[in-house]
Amino acid sequence: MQGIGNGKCQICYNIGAMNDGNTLLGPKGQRQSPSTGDCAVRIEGVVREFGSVKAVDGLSLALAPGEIMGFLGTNGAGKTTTIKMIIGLLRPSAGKVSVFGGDPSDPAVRARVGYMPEVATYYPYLNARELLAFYGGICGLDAKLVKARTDELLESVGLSEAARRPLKTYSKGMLQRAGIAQALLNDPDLLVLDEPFTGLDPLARIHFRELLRSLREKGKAVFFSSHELGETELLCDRVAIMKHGHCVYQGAVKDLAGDGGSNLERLFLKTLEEAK
Amino acid sequence: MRHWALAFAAAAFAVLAIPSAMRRLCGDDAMPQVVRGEGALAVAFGDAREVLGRALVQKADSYFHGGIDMDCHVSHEAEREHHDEHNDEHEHHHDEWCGCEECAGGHEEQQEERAAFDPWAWINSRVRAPQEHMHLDGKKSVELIPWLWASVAADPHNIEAWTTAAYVAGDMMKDTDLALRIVAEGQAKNPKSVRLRFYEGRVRYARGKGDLASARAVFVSARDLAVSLGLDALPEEERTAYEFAGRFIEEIDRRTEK
Amino acid sequence: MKTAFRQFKALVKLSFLELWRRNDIFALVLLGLALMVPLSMASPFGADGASRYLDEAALLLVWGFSLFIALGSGQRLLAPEFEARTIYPLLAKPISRGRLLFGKYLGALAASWSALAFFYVLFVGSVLLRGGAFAAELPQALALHFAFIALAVAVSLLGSLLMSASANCALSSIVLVGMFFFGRRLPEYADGLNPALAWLVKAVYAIAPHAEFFDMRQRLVHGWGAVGWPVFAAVLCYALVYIAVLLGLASLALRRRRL
Repeated sequence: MQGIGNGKCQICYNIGAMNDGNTLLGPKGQRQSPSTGDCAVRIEGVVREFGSVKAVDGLSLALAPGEIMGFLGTNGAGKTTTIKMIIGLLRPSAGKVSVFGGDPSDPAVRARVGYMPEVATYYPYLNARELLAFYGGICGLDAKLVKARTDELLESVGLSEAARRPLKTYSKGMLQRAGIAQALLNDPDLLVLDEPFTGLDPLARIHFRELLRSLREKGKAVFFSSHELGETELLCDRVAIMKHGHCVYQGAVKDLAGDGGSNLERLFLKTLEEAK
Repeated sequence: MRHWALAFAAAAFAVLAIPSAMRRLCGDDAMPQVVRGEGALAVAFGDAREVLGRALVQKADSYFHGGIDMDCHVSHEAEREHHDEHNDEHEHHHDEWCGCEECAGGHEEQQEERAAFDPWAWINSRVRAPQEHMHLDGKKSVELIPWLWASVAADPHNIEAWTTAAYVAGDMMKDTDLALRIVAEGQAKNPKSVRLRFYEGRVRYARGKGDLASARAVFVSARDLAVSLGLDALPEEERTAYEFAGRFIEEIDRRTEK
Repeated sequence: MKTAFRQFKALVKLSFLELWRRNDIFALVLLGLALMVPLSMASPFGADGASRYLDEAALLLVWGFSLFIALGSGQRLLAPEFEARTIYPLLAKPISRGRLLFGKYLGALAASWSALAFFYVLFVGSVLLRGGAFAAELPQALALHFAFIALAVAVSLLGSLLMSASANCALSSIVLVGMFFFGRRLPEYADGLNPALAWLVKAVYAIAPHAEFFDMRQRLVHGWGAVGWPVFAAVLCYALVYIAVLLGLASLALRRRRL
């Protein structure tokens, strides 16, 4: 099921949104302001080439506010390249990427986006508080607001006690949580996460899942790539599967036939096999 | 793998081939190098000590001229005349090409070539040189001593450095005790130096009447040293010191006869 | 405007914290003390009263250490961000590449200048303790040295975007130190070469950053007095223009850098 057409966000229409330019309803019927009436992410026929290599070839998908989308695929499928285009680090060679109706490279659009990379060794000489204060400054946020958000975020990601330790003493999982905190600092409407579950212990994964669900309840959109099929199946509303730069499957997770477990894994393997 | 093998082969060739090539080029007597002198500096620097010593003497000379680099100095017309007048005293390199815009020295054709304005030279000549030419004298001459001390520490056989230091101490600072200490230390490291022996006599002579006898004795010992070393074998500076010592002896005899 | 100010402030604070927490400065100060204390206790030929050689040695150390800090600060601006992959969350924030580059540069500048100020406080304090004094040349010397450090950071920043860290440090050091000691002699060397090499040397003379313009050490040590204000202004303008060109090239390099 792919859903773009006629200049309207088909996905948003399909989940019951009324895009009359004045009001928009999210997937649970909650009202949203006109500024969030656009798709959170709209990718239309995007191609991205690096020399003679097509990392992404003809990708189209859309993500609505209040939706969590899982982006799956093998290594080198084009997931990270797609993510970089969504956050404005790369321009497509062809096609169009828009975030909340605007150009992703526009700072005003990026102010509504939070991003966490796959692996990041954050500044070793800073502690978690200073890291968030730094990113808060980069986002142009007021110092008082940053401080309040810092306290709140460190608590929610479980880093309050380690907040004053230098980041070079952090474990991989702790760095990952610090990364989540910085991605959420500016209260983004769109959260883009690259392999967010890497390095997290089971308890942290549960908390993180709850965090993402709470963001969805608030009408935020979440787009993440992952190799963790179990987590993806538990969290996502829809998934897209990439292979060799092509999107070989898009659909709602609830449409997968239920038999008690590993539906997504079976679908993943089957889709990749059929796409050979 | 192939790159590593090639690199190893090249390194092995260099290790084996270069020393034998050097032996052919430099002659057997140049290899291996023999360290002259004792101590860590001799081992670490070898013959480079001489170069270092000379460079430090030049630095002292630069200090004498108020910090100006003596290979390249700026002067107004008046200063140019001053240097032309005192050229013999200071051994300025007036006949050599100078990179400064207003330098008095230099061949005519080079000055013509520099007719085009060089903004970088304009800036350098104004930032890196004083507006007036200065010489250190009197007690301020003590600023030269550390550089001369460093020069003889680097190369204890640099007789010019010893004599310059003694000159600065005795003639400029008017501290003959210091000058004698310097000369004594120099002679301890260079017992076969006629110049240093002569210089000791000169310092004693400069002290005046009370030291004339001891000065004469030193001049005589300098001439005896020169004779014992063989006058024909002496370098020019040493022979000059031998001759000057003779003149001083004559002068002292003349004065004492009065 | 407020956003830009907050962004620059955050970037400056980052560089500042990193420099002072790395303890490089303190290591250099200890090294300086290890070199200067024995030197000041030396009594050449037993003669006391010489102090200019100490001032010159101290100033040479200040220049060497500040250059080390500046080149290191410039190198650590962006290259480590790419290596640690922190460039991605950074550029994903609402900040343009140009503003990021300039903010980073300001940060390295603030850090390097703070280190330089610290070194000069130690230097001036040591001179005053020995009974020395400074005149009008000190503020000028400080200003030119600060300008040189700004230039050195810009050189290192551009180099960090074009080559590896070790190559950048080596090349930047060779260029700046080489020009510092030999820059003004290049036309002289060129005269003795064949036409092709002479042209190359003259091109280097014309284009390379003339670090020697900023060197007022001899003025400070020997009390030559202040430089004429037109020359002083000319050197500062030279620094500003050169830095602008370097930052422009760095901005181009960053734009073309594959993320």
